[in-house]
Amino acid sequence: MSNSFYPVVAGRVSDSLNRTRSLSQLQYDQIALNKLQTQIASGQRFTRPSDDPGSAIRVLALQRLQENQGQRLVNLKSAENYLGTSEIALAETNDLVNNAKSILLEAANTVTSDSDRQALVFQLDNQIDRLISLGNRQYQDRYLFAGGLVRVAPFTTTTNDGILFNGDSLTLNTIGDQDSLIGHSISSEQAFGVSSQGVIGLTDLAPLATLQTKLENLNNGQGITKGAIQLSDGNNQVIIDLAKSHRLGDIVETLNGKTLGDREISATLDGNQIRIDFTDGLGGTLRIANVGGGRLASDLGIETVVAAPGLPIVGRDLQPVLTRNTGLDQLLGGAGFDLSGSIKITQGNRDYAIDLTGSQTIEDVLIKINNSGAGVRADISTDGRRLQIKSALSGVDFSISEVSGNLASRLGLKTFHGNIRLDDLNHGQGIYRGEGDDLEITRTDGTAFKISLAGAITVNDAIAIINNHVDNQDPALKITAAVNNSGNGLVFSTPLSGLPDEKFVIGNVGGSQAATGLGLIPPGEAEAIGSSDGTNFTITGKDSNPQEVDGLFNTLLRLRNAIRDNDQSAFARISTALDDDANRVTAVRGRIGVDQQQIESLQYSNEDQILKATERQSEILDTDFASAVAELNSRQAAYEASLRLLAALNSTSLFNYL
Amino acid sequence: MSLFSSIQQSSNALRVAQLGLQVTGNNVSNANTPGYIRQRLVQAPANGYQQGNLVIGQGVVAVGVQQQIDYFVTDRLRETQSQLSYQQSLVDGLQNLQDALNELGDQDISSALSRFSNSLQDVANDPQSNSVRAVAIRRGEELSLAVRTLSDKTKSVQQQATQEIATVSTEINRLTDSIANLNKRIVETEGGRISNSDAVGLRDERLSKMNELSELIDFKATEQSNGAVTIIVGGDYLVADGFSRQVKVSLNSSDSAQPTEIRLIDTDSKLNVTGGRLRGLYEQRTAVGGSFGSQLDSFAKNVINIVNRVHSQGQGSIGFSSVTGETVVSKPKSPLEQAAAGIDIDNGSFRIDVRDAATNTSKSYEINVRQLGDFSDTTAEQIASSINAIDGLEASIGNDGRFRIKSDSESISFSFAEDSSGALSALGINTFFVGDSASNISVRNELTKDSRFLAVSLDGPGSGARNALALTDAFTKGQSQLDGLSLQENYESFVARTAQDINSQQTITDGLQNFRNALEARHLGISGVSLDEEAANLLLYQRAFQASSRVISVANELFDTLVNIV
Repeated sequence: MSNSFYPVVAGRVSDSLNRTRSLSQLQYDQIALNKLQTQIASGQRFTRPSDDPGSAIRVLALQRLQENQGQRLVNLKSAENYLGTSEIALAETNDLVNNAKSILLEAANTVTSDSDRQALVFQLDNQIDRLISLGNRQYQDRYLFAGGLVRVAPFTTTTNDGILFNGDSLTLNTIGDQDSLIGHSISSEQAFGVSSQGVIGLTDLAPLATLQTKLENLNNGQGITKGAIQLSDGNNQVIIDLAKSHRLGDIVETLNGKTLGDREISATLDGNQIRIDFTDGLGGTLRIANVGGGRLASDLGIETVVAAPGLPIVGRDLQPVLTRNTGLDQLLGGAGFDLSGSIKITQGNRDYAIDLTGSQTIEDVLIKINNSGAGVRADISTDGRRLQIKSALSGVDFSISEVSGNLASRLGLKTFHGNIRLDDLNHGQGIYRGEGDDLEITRTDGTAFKISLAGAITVNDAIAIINNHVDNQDPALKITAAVNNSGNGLVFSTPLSGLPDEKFVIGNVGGSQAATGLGLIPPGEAEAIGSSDGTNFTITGKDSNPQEVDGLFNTLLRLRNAIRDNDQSAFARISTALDDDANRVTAVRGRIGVDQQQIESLQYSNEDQILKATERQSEILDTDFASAVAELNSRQAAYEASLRLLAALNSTSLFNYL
Repeated sequence: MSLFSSIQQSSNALRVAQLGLQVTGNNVSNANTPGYIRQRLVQAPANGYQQGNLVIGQGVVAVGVQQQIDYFVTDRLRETQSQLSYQQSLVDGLQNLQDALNELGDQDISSALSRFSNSLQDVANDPQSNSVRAVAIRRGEELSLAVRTLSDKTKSVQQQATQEIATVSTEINRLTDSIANLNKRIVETEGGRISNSDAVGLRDERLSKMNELSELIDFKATEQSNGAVTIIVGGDYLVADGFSRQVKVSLNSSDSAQPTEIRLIDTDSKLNVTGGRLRGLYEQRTAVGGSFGSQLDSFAKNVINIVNRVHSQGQGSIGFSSVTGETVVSKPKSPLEQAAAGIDIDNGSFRIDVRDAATNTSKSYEINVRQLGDFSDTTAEQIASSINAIDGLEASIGNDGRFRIKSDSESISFSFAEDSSGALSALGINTFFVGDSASNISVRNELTKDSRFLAVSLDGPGSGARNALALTDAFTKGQSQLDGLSLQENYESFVARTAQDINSQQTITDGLQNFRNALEARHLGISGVSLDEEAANLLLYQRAFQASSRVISVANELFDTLVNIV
């Protein structure tokens, strides 16, 4: 009825027409008045979407925008709170690092007595406790520095004086704006440093693809592009859609049995390659091409470029990566990896023998290592072909070696091996060499010779220099240097000569500390004397390449231990580490500052968007009161006029004049 | 010519003038009677007689009383009325739905969608809080309740239409009965005379009954030579002479949107209408149950499927010790896509992580779901046996057709992840919503009981809330299943379509209303009483009476003169 009107007709006009028309007019006027009253009362120009569908759709979209942006403001506020609270904890951490630095300076410069050291150790223990409580700080029941494991206290002390990180590396995100995620948790790794550098296996485990291998795990984990391929034999061609494929087997199965002309196609997985031929094996022309803009044939390496390629067509190495479910029999190109045996993980003064026997899959291996209690995280390396182990236990030395046998070596996980750079030994301090010769070795015949390690880069270089030294070529007196097969470190050996008072001694030469640095001479001693097993003299060096967590917890524990043990030599290293820790915390605080700025600018822009949307919605939906009231007045006037008209029409009649 | 005949002539005129007065009086009396057709006295010069060379007129005679009506206009008016009633009734039904949608405010489904999506973001903000999770679940319940309520309202609009159809059936019978009766009486009254309007009052009544009927159904009316009208609806006689055919409401099993229809009792065939309120009611049910209802259902289904697919791949803050699928698997031995109605599966796999609290170990297992469209595709039973093969888990398809997975021991719990196949969602495992339409959408019972099962994590039970953001994305970001629209936009486009439909329907209705008004105006112009005109007629008849009386008086004087001569 909204737009209806009652027409005036030409010709005869009857009283009933007049009446109906007037009544209709009154009706329309009343409806219009009602509408205006509703507009004024509700404040909305229309209340039903159908009154103005175009505007209503825009209003719905604007309302959605406001609701979504409103929530984003809530998200930003929440992120601001969490980041702000984290920042406060980190500011305190900065202070704590500065305190630790002063304690270090005090210890290095002035303090000598045991009781003074004791006092500093006590202070440091307090600082460490405070650091643990900072790391475990909670806000609204969330452990701020636990990563994704928000209900787990991230830092706990362990029985061997270490501090274990129990969190994970997940960052919690919230939506700051369409397509813009804001992190509202701080990574402990970035703020404090909670894990060691990964010990990445030297052994390429070279997994073999199987029919069950997922396409996403091929191509070094980059995956391959799904799509279709086209086969042709020169006369016939067929397009085979492989877009639904999820595993290699899906591709092979789908291709198998397809016909080209009247010849059947066969596809097999051979090693890490796909092989395609005619089933009858009679040769002929078979060409394979990508379809459209697809890349599947290229990715599988079966695209043919010559007119008559040789059969079978063999694809490229699909380069699968390890997954948790990769079977050990798939390793080493399908030869399988015998994981029977154990590896030893040493954390400080505790050894953990981990028996990997019975593992079927990579996951079994990872679980055994991770659940060993050693405080390490085993995983697949980022290149997807090796194992990788990190320590999460701060404050103690970490190493991997053999229990017996050679499993750690076969996995390439031993932390001491010939390819380690000498500069990396001893927590990266290297070995201290003076001018000229470094080692003096006294042979079993009482003669001595000196060796310079100049030019040696790696442990193997040093071993080669020693073993190939011109003065070390007499088989009866030969000194053989080697990497310890079982433990970590070097082993020097020489046969017994049978002479009286024979002995085998290694010492540093002049100012060089190389023998000490290589772990052959214990710290504080002048020389190492070989022990005899009846056949050979042997000097077994200690592990000169211990690993450790690179972070603040570790540094403070190390500092505490160094002061307690009065180990002045460690101070320089610890001082550098403290600087690194301070820089790390400062950098994270800087990033929080940047994030907070971003949050602030997003808040402004979101508020602005909400404001604009509200304005726009108001323009569309809200009643324009001035015009509504004006129209109401004119409608009322019209209504009154209609009433008068009706009355006037009924009052005049010819009968009045009869 | 004699003086007598002059008197006779004038006395005829007097009679006609009196009749004229009566007709005028009748018109004046009925000036306000609805449906009254004004009448006119038809008068004609009486036949003259020949006297010698002269033909002398005998005055005036009243031929009849005629209704002033244009049947072309009334027929058009009725047809238009039928179409208008049809459109009006359709608009009314759609308006009811629009009122049920209650959009443009903040208590509508679009707001419920936003609130649910927003509450999931709150979970991402505070993944540690169980109460925030509980609120998110509550928001999910609110959304499903809003959808169910709308579905119920849709049904009640349909039911109302069905009830009205029953009323229309009764009305049709009443009107056709009385039209048939009036036919009889008109034929009797007019007795075969051909003025076509002798039974004036009866004809008025019949016309108004026909007008009433035209609001209910559209029909063709033809007047027979005897004065009776025949009413034909969609090729079937409804009224012929004094007879009417009765209609009844019958159940219709062939079309679920049209559970009842009006049929002719004698032939049990559907009354085929193309207008009137009846057609409007029929179409209301189609529009409501068909178009609107199915759009609402498909929206609900989209919400269920998309949210479930994301949710089923996530983990709560604890793992499951047992879980029961919501989908009834009717064919466990058939490929999964045929195992139950409406299952949507891709070729892929999903992961089950089994955690043993006693040894603190968590192992993951890949369950392959082959779906290449052939007979080797994975069946529900095969999935069950793959899961069964996992140490610590038992899986089966129960007698009720539901998929069940449970752990062997108290220390073992399990969770799901990375489902590229959609099998979990399809089997109703670890889903958020249950149901498959707007009428039965609800939140999974386990979730309302224990908010810790809200699957907001992707990195293992209790770790972070990446899945909460993924769930939010389903509402705010484009989905491939929805041609790039988000769920919110999907719903808006549904509202927009409804609003557009109503708007265009309203425009049609307004057009018809104007047309009907124009026709009614013409009809009233022709058939309505004009008092001024009647007053003029009154004067004319009065004057005619006075003049004829004067003629008689003059003739009488002349007569006296002649008599006095004698």
